Amino acid sequence: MSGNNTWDTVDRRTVLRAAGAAGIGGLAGCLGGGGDEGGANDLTVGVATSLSGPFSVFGQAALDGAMLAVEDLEEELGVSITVEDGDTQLDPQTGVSQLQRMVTEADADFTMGAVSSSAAQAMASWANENEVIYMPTGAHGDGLTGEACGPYSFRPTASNSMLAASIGSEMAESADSWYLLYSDYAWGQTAQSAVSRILEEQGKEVVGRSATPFPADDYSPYLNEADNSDADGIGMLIAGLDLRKASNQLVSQGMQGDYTLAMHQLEDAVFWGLDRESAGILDSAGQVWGPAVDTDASVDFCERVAESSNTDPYVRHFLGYLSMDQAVRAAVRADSTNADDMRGALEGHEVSSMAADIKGGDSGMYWREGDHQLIQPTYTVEAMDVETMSEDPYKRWFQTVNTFDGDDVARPVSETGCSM
Amino acid sequence: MSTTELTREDLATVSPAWWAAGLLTVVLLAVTFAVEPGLFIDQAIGGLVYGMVLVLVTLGLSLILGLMGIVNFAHGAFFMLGAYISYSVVVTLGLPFWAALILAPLIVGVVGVVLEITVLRYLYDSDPIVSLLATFGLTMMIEEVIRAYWGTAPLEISRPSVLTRGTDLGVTTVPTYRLFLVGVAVITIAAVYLLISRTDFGLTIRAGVQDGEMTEFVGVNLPIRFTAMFFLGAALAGFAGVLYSAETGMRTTMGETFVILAFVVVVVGGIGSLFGSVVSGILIGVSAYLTPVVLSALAEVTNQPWLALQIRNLVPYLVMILILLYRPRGLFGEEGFLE
Repeated sequence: MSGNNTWDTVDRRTVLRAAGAAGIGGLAGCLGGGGDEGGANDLTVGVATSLSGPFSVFGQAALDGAMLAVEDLEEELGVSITVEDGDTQLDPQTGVSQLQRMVTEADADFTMGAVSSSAAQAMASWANENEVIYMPTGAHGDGLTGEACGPYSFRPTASNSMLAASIGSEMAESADSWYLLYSDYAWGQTAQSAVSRILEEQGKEVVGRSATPFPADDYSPYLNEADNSDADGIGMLIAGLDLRKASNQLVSQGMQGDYTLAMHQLEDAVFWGLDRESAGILDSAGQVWGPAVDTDASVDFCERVAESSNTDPYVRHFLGYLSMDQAVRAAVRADSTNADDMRGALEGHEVSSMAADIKGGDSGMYWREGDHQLIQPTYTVEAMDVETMSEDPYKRWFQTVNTFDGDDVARPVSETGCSM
Repeated sequence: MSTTELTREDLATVSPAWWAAGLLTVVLLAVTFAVEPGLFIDQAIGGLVYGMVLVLVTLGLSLILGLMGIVNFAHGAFFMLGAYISYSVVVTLGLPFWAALILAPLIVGVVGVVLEITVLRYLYDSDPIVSLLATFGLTMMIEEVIRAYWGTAPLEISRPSVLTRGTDLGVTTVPTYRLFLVGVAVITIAAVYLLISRTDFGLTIRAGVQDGEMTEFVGVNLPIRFTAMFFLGAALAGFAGVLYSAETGMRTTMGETFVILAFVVVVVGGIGSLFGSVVSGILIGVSAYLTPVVLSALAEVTNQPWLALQIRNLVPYLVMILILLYRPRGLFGEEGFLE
């Protein structure tokens, strides 16, 4: 980007580049805010996400959504945006290397991306240490806005605990005892913790838990454990497309009619691989956003995604759009890509852009200062009747049951464990 | 390939410690059944079915290693190639799953033949480590071809609808598709056994492995038989890939995941023994399913929660360590084979 540089930012970026050239990282902390202060007309944005491996479907959709935001932002704000993308695979260290490369070699002004919470935490740690703005686009683990929060990382999607709180009351109403299957890494562990806490606060019992490897092929032994637990309901806290495998095997074992089934974070794409009848196995599911949101802006966005992306619209497209929208607008508001300036432009900011219209809900969205969580509405959804599920111009298989205000489902900052 | 090498003499030499270990296992299983009868039955049957799936996946490797002495590390890559080709057959060409079940193994078999003629044929007289290194290189090549052609995103195909639901066995419900896999595995094992033990083709292959010069001297064209055997081994790997991926989908790490597990099955069963691979696959499958239940029951009985360890993925390797401590050549391995 062009513009005048202050001494400390010149030094910091020079040191970062030198560190990158020397193959070492984490040297530039304490040298002042990242980015440049001389305006925000020509921006380079680093998008590092899973473009291969089990989360590649999610990562590519987020990138597609981000590119739609670039189109809108360039037209509306008159800025020029270059996107530098990179593949984090499923590996935290690869994610960190990608961020480092983007900042030191591609001159990225700020960064975003990641699907896996483990990768996102490592990337956030690097960004905070090196004073680079980073938005963990699609990572929901509570740690990112909890113990692992930091001054320059801002989480645009809802946290696990927000989603768990959204479906908690429905889970509590529908069954007295639950068995939880969860993916055994940061996202699944915090999801299990959040859902257990919500259920127990409502006087319900979690009779057992199975930590499942991720990714995994065979969920049968864990389903057998759930089937023999005497639970009334099964919480399927399984990440990515593995939820589809687990659901397929659950149906194959004839268990779908015997239990209340719940998932705190539903992604429509996971169920598109099932037949329509099987897609309705979840009785209760939380959602950040989906084609079920039927505002005019949401429908328009879905139609644009359907035309431009290889996958039908779902939450990952929106999260990519939201991240790009918020980061670029923060730079433009601050008239700088300096990390401290962008931080100032984000903290406490109430979202009023097209992203808020697409998101829907009446409570609005704002960046909470204490933990850098985007407080936003959340939804619970259910499968539509098979006859009313639509395919054209895009798949719409679920419908909204309830909408929650972000402030009602987010933990207070004092309970997150975040201190900045 | 041998059938059974475990004899009464072997049993007579089993140490008291191992008898005690066996008795302890029986007691633990009995306690588990008493504490968790429903889960015990579910996991035992599930493990048996999973074990047969492992046998199916291992069969091609066991055949090539046992008959030809080739440590075929490319088995996992053939397995994965079969899976991805089935995707092209079903999704790109629009043909049914059953067509993929025939076409994909044939194509993988042809790839195997090409590699056998161009690479492995020159290594038959070398140490096993040479063929292992060569097939490791081939594995990397095949994996990169798969990444380049099909990409790195997970893919999947639809199974025939008749196989997507469950079958009620009375005591538990098992996915119909897995029962189908068990049936296919049993038929395939029987066919392979008959081929190598009851046909001239199998006889000449075995003779050729033991004394190639003499076998060729009596007029047997060994190279073409070895090529045919490699075709069969590769095709079986591809066949297993099609069957397995129809349930779990395709991903670019599936080959490396399964080649390790397949080697564990072969080593535990005993290199050179088809029967050993069958027993080993079932043993590992059942152990993987039952061990966590046993530990959970033990934790409950002793009131020691820390005993309920989630070690399901470690179980195959623990079984291998235990078996090799007692019998370094595996359960039914031939003395001197690859030693």
